[in-house]
Amino acid sequence: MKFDRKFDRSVVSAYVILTPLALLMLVPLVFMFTTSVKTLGDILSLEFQWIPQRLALENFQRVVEVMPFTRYLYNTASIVAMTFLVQSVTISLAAYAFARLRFAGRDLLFFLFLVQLMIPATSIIIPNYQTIRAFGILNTRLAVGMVYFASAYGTFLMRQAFRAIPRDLEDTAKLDGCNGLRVIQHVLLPLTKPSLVAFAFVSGTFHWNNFFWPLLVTDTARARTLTVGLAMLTQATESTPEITITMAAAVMITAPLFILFILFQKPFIESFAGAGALKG
Amino acid sequence: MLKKVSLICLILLMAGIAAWAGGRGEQAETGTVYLRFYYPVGVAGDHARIMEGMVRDFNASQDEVFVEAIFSGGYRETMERAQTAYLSGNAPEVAVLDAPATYDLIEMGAIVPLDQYIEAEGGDAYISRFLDGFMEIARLEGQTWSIPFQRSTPLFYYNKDHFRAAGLDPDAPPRNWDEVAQYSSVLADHFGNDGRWPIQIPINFWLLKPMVLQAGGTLESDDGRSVSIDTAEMREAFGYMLDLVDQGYMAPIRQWAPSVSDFIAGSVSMLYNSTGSLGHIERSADFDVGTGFLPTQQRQVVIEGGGNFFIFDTDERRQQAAWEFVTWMTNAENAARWSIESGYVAVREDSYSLPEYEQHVERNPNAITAFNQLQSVEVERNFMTYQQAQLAELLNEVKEDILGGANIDTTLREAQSRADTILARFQR
Repeated sequence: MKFDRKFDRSVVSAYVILTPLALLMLVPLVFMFTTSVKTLGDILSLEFQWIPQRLALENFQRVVEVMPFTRYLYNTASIVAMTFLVQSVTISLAAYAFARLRFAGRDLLFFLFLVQLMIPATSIIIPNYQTIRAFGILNTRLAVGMVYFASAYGTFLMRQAFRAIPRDLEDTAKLDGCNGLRVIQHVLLPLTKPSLVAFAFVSGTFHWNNFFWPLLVTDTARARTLTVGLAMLTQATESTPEITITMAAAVMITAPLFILFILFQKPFIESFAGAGALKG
Repeated sequence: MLKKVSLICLILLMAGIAAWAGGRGEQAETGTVYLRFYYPVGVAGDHARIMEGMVRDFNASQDEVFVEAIFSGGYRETMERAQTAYLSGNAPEVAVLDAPATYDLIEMGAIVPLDQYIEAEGGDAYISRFLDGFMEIARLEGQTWSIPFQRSTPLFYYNKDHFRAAGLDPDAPPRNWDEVAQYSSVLADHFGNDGRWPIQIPINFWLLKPMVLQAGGTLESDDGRSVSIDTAEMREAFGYMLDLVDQGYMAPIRQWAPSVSDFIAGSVSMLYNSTGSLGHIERSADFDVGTGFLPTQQRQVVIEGGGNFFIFDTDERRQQAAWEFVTWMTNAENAARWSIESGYVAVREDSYSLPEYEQHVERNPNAITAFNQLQSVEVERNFMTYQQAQLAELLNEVKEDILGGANIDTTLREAQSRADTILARFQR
């Protein structure tokens, strides 16, 4: 720990500023949760109620009636896991090449890789759709994840992390007889775990929340995701959405992410706080 | 050596994932025609389930055609999905889409005209069973492009209990703009304006167009290639709303969904909205709900909205099968069933004389107001142009800006030039 034992002024002022901000961020979540257990009468009453009069747990029951929730949950979880698994292989190999190997045009290639970050995903939807169709895998979970198997952001993140590791460590490993792949596996990856965890969160959240692409390439419940199910409740442009049920669905859909975050909070925050593995 | 083994392992891992997550969609048995049917959800409730139930019944009713019902998001996502699929050579055979998208679908060459199928079904004798107001949007450039399915119209809602309390006749909603102002003044006197408003007209182009028509104007040309925003009639429509705002009778800016909640909560006594909200309002309101025709001005006119069936350009066999599906979904019994379960207006006249529909109206007298309105006033089509989604959004912005206090002249002028730019490439 860098901080002195006693509270110095900067820590106090950080708390003063961050506590209200944290509370502010909590408001929508609290609102989502309380609304999900309210009755329609509660939310429409002229007096705003923070605490519902009774727990309207039937809202959750209704969500399960409207969509095949467990199937969607299974699909979403497996797509997120599959995508991250493949990504972690592709990005660490690519990052190693960009960070350590010397070859002609490396920097230009890396630059092109970064340019990819600036292309909005929506603009390449049609070519992507055609590719998926040519593979004959429309309406599968693979179709949802496949177009994300390579990640410019992840490659960038891992390249920076690899570069921060002294070459000496690698050379030592090489002296012990490790080749490139085993260096990545046994030296680089263990030391850059926080970066990988951070990427897991970014990738996982993105794919958990992704809506339009899964909607586009899937037809039936066998490959559809939770967000598509949520849309069945929210797209009521010709009338009015049933807010309580929508919020109940939102709670059910975000809950797994919350739980994961709480479980992996420490490595996640460490990775962003820049506490590199070498320190620990 | 080790390198190669690792590489092979990696490839096997990827292939394994592909095999596990991949696989083919179920194939319908040979001989039957397999149709993919994209549909949007436009109203709250068990919409998707009702739709899937009907499609299942269709599949069970015969064995030549098998339809897969594919939920595709809201109207906008369903249109985008159909466009993407069509451009990639994978168009669905049939879809319910927002009717004003017709121009854009024709421009892409995605859909086929239905006249030959209608002819085979009996021509005018067949098509005249659909309510006239709903057929207008389906006919363009001398051809019929779609069949009405989930249709709605703007409707005027009012709180009968509030009317009684304020001494107004609960069975006589205001008939024109002047009466709306008078009624508002009576309601405001009685209830005060402590967080309550006599009337609400939410921000939406779909409620703006009928007001422009009622003032005697037009919004877009018949060919969908030009829009008139900077007009005297547009000013008149805004004059009506701005008066209500200035008098303190109406909150200046309220969006669609909250306006319905306000009405249900009793903080608004009169509301412009859609027939699509009727079910939700009747289920949720703890007061006596009244419905009436949209208050008029010079001209007695209303518009329609909602989705129609479109058949995509595939091949003769599949188009014919899609047509059979569409005629089944829109026959008198099913149009009635869809209306009763979803809350949309039934699209056929012969649905209204079915015993189950008569019982439905007996239980829900407000369900017939929309039908009466469509029969007794002129019906014009929904706002329909090329680039419709973009222009509709522009109109929403105009309404929000002006009611929010922006200068009406500059706002309308700027909006007009933006609309002209959007439509520039469609000028002949």
